[in-house]
Amino acid sequence: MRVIRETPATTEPEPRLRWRVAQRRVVCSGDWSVARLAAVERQIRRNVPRTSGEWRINLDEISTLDTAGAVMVQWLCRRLRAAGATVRLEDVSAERNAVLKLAASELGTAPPRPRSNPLEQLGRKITSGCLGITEYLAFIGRLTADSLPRMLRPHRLRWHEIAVELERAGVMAIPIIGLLAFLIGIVMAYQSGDILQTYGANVFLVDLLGVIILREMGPLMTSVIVAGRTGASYTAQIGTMQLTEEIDALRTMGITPFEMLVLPKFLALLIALPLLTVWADAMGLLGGMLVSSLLYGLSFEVFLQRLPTVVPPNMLWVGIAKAPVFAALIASIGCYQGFRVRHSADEVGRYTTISVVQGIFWVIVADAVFSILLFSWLGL
Amino acid sequence: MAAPAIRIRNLVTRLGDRTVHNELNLDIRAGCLTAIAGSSGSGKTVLLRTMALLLPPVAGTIELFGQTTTTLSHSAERGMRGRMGVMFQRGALFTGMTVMDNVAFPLLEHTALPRSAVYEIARLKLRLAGLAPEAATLYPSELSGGMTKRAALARSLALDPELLFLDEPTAGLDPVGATAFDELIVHLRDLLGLTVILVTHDPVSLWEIADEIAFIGEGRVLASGTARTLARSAEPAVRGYFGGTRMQRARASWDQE
Ligand SMILES: Nc1ncnc2c1ncn2[C@@H]1O[C@H](COP(=O)(O)OP(=O)(O)O)[C@@H](O)[C@H]1O
Ligand SMILES: [Mg+2]
Repeated sequence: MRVIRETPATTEPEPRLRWRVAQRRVVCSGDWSVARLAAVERQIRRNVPRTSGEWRINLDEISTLDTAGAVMVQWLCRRLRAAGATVRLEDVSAERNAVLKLAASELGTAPPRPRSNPLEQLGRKITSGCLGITEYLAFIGRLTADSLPRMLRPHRLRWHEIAVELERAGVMAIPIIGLLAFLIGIVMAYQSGDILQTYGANVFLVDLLGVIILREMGPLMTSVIVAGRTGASYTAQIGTMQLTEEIDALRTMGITPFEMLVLPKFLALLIALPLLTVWADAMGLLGGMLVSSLLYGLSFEVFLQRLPTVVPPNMLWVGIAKAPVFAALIASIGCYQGFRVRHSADEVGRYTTISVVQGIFWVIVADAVFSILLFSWLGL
Repeated sequence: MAAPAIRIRNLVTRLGDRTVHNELNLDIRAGCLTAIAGSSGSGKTVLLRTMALLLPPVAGTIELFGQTTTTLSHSAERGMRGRMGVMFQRGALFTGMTVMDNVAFPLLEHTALPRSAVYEIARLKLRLAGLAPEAATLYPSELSGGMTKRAALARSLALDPELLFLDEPTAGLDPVGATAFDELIVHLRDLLGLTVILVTHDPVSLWEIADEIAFIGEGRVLASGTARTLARSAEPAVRGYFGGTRMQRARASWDQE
């Protein structure tokens, strides 16, 4: 019985090749099993002499010959033949012969997968990039077509799934979003308070924090966190279900995955993100207030009294109104990327990354559009 | 006969709070094709995973090649793993690699051979497993059920293992494919001197290719021996399993030959 490979205590000798050039013989010896063949392979590659005539290969001293070893013996034969010799294996046992034959007849190579040239790849990238948008739109279309009938009859919505998603995307995100909003409130108050103080304009800290947090930072930061948390999980879940054919199983039952998987996620996020935004607004203001009162002499009372007078309520509404739009972007992109998974676990990782990056990207683009539209047209 | 390739003594395995095996004893002879039978959920896959060092036992010992697995050093365990191949119930091919790369992967990891040699060996393994060369460049998601099984077999053979674990290799194959697969396993066992451990429900495999059958039930080996002896076993569960109509039909055709 063989002793464990790769452990130093092995009793079998190293695999070796000895060239008896004068006798035109190659003597192979030792353990020709797969884990130890690298040295032999190097010798075969480097040391085959330019020669002609008949060479004999002796395998008697080989203690173990597995299929990889047999492949190496055949390589040796092939090299010698390529160098101009004819080769004969010296009396080999029947068992070994069977293995050697197996290795010898192996020459039918697979046709390589056609490789595309760089130009073609570029073309494919561009077309798939363009088609990606139409595919996404098609996805939205199908989602709408499947969801509308349900939406019109709310009692047929999957309220249970919606509640589950609401808990995962909303309730469970409360601590992290609260904490981060609080910290950002602190940082912003601290950084801008310093500057305002030099002008003795401490009290404007309220204006500054109110506008920035309620209008921009609240919704934007919440969306970014939700895109990383929830958008990614949507993609990973749907992608894995694609791989395990669970999506197909749903289809065969006459249940469309859109209605079963996407719609609850979509609706849940549509509800959760505005609420989380309000939460983030509150925690951000709290952080700002804390710094204002501790460092810049603005008590809570002063802060809270001034806030409604300098920040019009529609500033708050603008912030909250953006949230459902961001939610729609994050949920649809997350689910869409999940459905793009087809074959492999790699793709789950890849599309999850894409989902997060695109989610954040489009949220920021939408935010910019909002700012311009609202500010320049409606004067908000 | 030489020392057994695998010796299991008083094995206890537990998953969650469910005891799957309780005081299980089993010897597997080297160079033999041992089948593990038993009703669904009796713990065959779990036993296979335990033998393949994927699941540590709660109690008891497993000796592979005369070495107790629980006390192996890290490098010895790695060496041990290089000596066995596992074919999983669902193939478990790496979905991100072609079939060829799947087979080449363990070779690239475990040996210092250059790529050309590795791919040559991998091609040989694919052919051994009965896959057409065209299948080599396909991805697992592009394979049929039978091709997946063959590709998984090729990968489990990659490192020329001495021990080959097969979990229901013929389940889900058409009858012709299943017979061919059985023949392939016997052929490989004879050619490469493998010790094969085969989990199967297939009556034909049990009657025709198994040298020995271990029947698992109630968390232990209820009976072991050839299909013929098990069919006459005193254990009602074993007799019931081997007395079923499908078993008897397989037996009848086997008797005729
Ligand atoms: N990961 C797991 N956790 C808990 N129980 C498990 C797990 N895997 C298997 N089991 C249980 O162990 C028992 C044996 O399973 P298995 O070995 O897969 O059965 P089979 O004999 O059909 O291959 C089953 O009852 C199964 O429910
Ligand atoms: Mg099983």
